[in-house]
Amino acid sequence: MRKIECLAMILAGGKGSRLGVLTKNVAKPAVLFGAKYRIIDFTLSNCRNSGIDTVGILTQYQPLELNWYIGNGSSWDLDSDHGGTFVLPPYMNDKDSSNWYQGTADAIYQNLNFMDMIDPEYVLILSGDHIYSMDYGTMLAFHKKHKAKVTVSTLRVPMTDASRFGIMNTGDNMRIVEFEEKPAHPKSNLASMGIYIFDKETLKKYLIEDAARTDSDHDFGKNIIPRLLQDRVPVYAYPFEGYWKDVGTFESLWQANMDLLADNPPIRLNDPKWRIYSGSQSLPPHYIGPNASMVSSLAGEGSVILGKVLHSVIFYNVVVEEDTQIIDSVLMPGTVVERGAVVDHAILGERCRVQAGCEIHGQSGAIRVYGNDDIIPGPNANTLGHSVPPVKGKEEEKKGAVVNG
Amino acid sequence: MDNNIIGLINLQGPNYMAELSEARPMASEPFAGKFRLIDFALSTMVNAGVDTVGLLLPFHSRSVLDHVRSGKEWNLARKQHGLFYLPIDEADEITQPRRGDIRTYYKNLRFVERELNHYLLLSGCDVVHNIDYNQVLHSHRSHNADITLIYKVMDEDSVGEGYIVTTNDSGHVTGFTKTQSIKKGDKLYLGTALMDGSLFVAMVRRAYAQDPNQYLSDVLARNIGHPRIYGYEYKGYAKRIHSLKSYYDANMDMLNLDNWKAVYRQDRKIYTKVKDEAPAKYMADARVSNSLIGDGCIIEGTVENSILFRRVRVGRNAVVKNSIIMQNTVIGEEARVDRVVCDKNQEIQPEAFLTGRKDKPLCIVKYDVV
Repeated sequence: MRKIECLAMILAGGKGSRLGVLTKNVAKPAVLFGAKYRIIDFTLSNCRNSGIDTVGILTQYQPLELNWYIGNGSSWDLDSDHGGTFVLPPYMNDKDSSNWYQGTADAIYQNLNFMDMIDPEYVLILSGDHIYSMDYGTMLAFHKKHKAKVTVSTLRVPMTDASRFGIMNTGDNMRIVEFEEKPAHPKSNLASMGIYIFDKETLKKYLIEDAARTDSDHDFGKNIIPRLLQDRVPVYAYPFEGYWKDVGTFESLWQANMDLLADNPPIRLNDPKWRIYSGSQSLPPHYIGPNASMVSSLAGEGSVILGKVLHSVIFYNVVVEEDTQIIDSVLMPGTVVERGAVVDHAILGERCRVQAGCEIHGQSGAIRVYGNDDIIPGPNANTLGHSVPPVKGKEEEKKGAVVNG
Repeated sequence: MDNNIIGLINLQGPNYMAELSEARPMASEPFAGKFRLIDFALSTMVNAGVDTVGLLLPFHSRSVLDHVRSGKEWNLARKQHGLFYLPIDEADEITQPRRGDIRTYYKNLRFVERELNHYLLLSGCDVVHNIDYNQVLHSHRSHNADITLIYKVMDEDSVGEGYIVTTNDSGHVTGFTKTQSIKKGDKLYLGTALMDGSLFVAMVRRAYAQDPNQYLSDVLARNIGHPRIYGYEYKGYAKRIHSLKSYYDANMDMLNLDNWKAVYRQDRKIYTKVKDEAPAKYMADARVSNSLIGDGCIIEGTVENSILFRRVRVGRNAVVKNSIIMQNTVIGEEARVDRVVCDKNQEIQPEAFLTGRKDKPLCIVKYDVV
């Protein structure tokens, strides 16, 4: 059998608590994004486009919809015979009985058997929560070139934001000399993206060691990386350039959707050399009615647009009836906006019904958000739903966390 | 869900749209922004629980094979049953004049004989429809029929060859005749029939012995009354594509939401090859009305009463009206296009001006640079 060079392990159990009603029944990686995708599509497409064909997906919180969506990975071409997609829920073993993942490192530790079974040379640790396009092959080449034992993917963030991230301080040649978690006075702006390549044996050794410690949070950023640096193991920072977004809040989810509407969006969805794959819905093209208008917007398949849509993201199977206005909003699959309604600065979950004459007015910094299957009636709409206070400036969610604190 | 039906789809029929594509069989003609004509025959069979489908491949089969491949999108890539490609006999193609379909059925009888106790659902691929074959089967059984012919009562006159069914009050077929002009109220045979598998085998063997160069439909027409032939009226949307005009009209029919909804049903989906395009993008100056827009399109200009397939680009100030633009075509800036059927991968130059006639859309075909 062909040797698997690089195994990807995707942490996909994140609860995404600050996405409130949108993650009530789904894990954060399954949250819908960009008129046809779910967040995890980006990571899975990156794997496929980087030539990684063996992927373990660690689930925990609300895994049903995510498991159903991933299936055998065929939507992302990740169903090959010698590799494939493995959904890895927590399971009982003889080591102990408390089998919930205690942290990012513990999640991988509890799946050491799986890693041994695949027996790759390298293990790529990823999060299913981020929106970005990245060639992991280039990062792996960097890892090999520097003869690193561990490589951390990093992104240059504005210096003013650096204290919100795990910051890598590097010496010559991008070798990491110091790691600081959310430093008050950052010395550099190289932020960890929660993406790591490990030599498998190094990973195994440090996970086993970490698991034995009772004072550890079993977290890659907090525990494993500092321990590696302390032991002078060669850890390098791979400098990633490009769009990378952790959509941890309503505001950032809304903003990331709006980012796609720019003439030259920061992330390309239609690059034939780097397709973003997703589960297929088998739907016909969408229909734009005689009196409709669609301006500066995206629309998914099977939708029927009879009203006026401006600067919005319309998913598949959405119905926008006549005499409506949709402005700066995100309408998730199956949602119906009835005649005469106005939806402004809002995120509507799946299968919502905005009843005739209803007006929803949010604003930038206070996006209005409705969960799946909400019915939003005409006259008193503003008293219902979940008005969301501005969340700008708050720290992003713990990077790559499987368990939310 | 085994309802004991096997499907046989004949893709060897003539191409009625030679002006659009000489080498592309009808099965591969794109339809309504995303689909190919074969999708309707294949999906409706699968939706009725048919898990064994044979495809009688046309001479030019590359586009069909590329589209259907393993049959995965139709859930037909199975270990047991599934999709069977039945290639054309090349020797026949070269040495024999291609007339009739009896020869090809005869050469592929083994496909039907493997499940002789099953019903056989026979279909072409030149009709857009969403027939529920379980209802046809119900009718077939309740009449204790040998053969059930599916027809549509026409709501307008049309020109073109077709078979007309006449039935008595109980649905028994009393006549089956070929005609060149179809009148309003005629019961047009949709080329789809349900029959007993062993009856089909016996019929084809006998017909082949008489004359290999004839049509099964003609054999049936001569034998009205011998097997128990019943008609089944399909009341949903159906349009037979037998000319460029009817192709254009059928596409435009999909701009009527009632037709669109009748064909694309959530409970009986039409499947097609998955392409993983991005969602369609409308730019700041886009003006789109009464149109179907496929995934991956980027629209900067005006689109009216038109159908855009996947990955079409409409440049700034370009105007597309009453047209069908197939996948991956670029309409240059300031170009004006009206009543045009444009094949895939075309490049309409900026400021080009192209207009077809009301009764005859202009065809822009492969390898044209306009």
